Parts: sequence; C-alpha cells; structure tokens
Amino acid sequence: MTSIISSRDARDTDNGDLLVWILAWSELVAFGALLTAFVVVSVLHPEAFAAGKARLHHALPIINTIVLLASGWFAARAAEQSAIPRRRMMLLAAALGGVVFGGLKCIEYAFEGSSLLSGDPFSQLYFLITGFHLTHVAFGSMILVLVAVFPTRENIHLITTLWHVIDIVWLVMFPVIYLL
Amino acid sequence: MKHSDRPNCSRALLLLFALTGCTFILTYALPERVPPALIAVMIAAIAVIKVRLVVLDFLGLRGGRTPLTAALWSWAAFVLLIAVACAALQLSL
Repeated sequence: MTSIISSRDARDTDNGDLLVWILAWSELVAFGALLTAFVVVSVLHPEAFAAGKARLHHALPIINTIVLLASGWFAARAAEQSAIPRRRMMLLAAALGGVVFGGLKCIEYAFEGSSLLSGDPFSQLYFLITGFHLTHVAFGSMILVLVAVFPTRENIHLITTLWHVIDIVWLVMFPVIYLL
Repeated sequence: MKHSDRPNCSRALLLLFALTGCTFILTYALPERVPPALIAVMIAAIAVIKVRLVVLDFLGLRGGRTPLTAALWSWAAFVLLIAVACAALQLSL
C-alpha cells in the first residue's frame, strides 16, 4: 500500500514538473521570438535603433540585473529551507526584489520617455518586450507573496522555477536590447 | 551526486555579480581601440555563462544528467548568436 501511495506521489510530482516546464518553455519561446524580432528590425532600421539605444539609461539596467540576481538567490534559498518561517522570509525577500526591479524599471521608463505610442520602431519594440517582462516580474512577485502564505514544497518548486526562467530571460534580454 | 556537483547558490551569486561587473567594464570602461565585434562576442559569452550558472545552481540542475540543462542554455546561446550576428552585420556595412 505504501509503495502504491509513494509511486502515485512520484507520478503527481512528475506531472507537476512537466506542467511547470511546459509553462516555462512557452515563456522562453515567446521571449525568443520577440527578441529575434527586435534584432531583425534593428538591422532594417539601424538609424532609429542607434538613436533609441543612445537614449537608454546606462546604470539602471545593471542595477536591475543585480537586484534580479539577488532575488533569484533568495528564491533558490527558499527551495532549500526546511523550516517554514525561513521559507516564508526567503520568498518575501525574493518578492521584494521583484518590486524593487519594477520600481527601478518604471523610473527608467520615465527617464527615457518610452511609450508604446511612440512613432519609432525601437521605442515600440523596446517598450513591448521590456513591458512584457515587467508584467511577468510583477505577476511573479505577487505569486511569491501568495506562496509565502502557503509555503508547501510543490508551490515553492513551481514559483521558483518560473522565477528563475524570468531571471534567465532578463539575462539574455539585457545584452540584446541594451548592449549589442 | 558528488559533493562538488551540489548546487551552491551563494558561490553562484558571487560569480554572477562578478560577471555583471565584467559586462559593465566591457561596455563602458574599455578603451575605444578594442574591436566592437570582439566586445559583442565577449558580452554574449558572459551572458551564456550567467544563464548556465542560474540553470545549474539556482534551478538546482547541477550534477543531474538531464537534457533540460543543455536545452536552457542553448536557448540563450541561440538568441544571443542571432544578436551577435546581426551586430557584426551592421558593423561590416
């Protein structure tokens, strides 16, 4: 009986893992397509993209990278903890990282004057891609807080996997949009 | 899993911060005589290393023989390769 229950548990966990990775890969494919579009349009409109990149803030994206990496570290540590209060603390710290990232990104938008309504292709694509990522960070932060209330191993595994995928997307997005 | 294969989040975080510092230096602090194409390749390589660190240590896939690890950093390498190729194309025009 015990073996039946444990094999059922293992199967449930595998199914949960599969769903998490389907979700994660759908995000990676979507962001991969958007970033490829950004690069292709940058070849078609080099002047607009050079002018657009010159308007971008230099320091804030680097600070945001550090904030998101630190937030990812807290999420990874939350998955390692066995004590519930420590899990909660780590998850809330990870969520705070997401909130700080969002705040800094909004300051950056205000500094750059970026908008979807801008006429040039750089601003439109820049705002679309970074805004889509920012929505993921905001939503992820909310889920991190929610999971801090219900910190089961399965919930933590789900949100930390997705949080690290959001982290990976930023690590690729940062050089593609700001540096290359 | 060998002891050295265990994910070490704190060591990974320090390495990630150091690599972010390297990216900053490559972008803003190098003299102008360094070829831009070389800088672009190095920035992309650092980004792939950072993704690999996050996958191995933050996602806890270090030591596991899963194709997921390779698939994740290959995704990053693929997107960055396109970006570097386009940057090189623009520099050559």
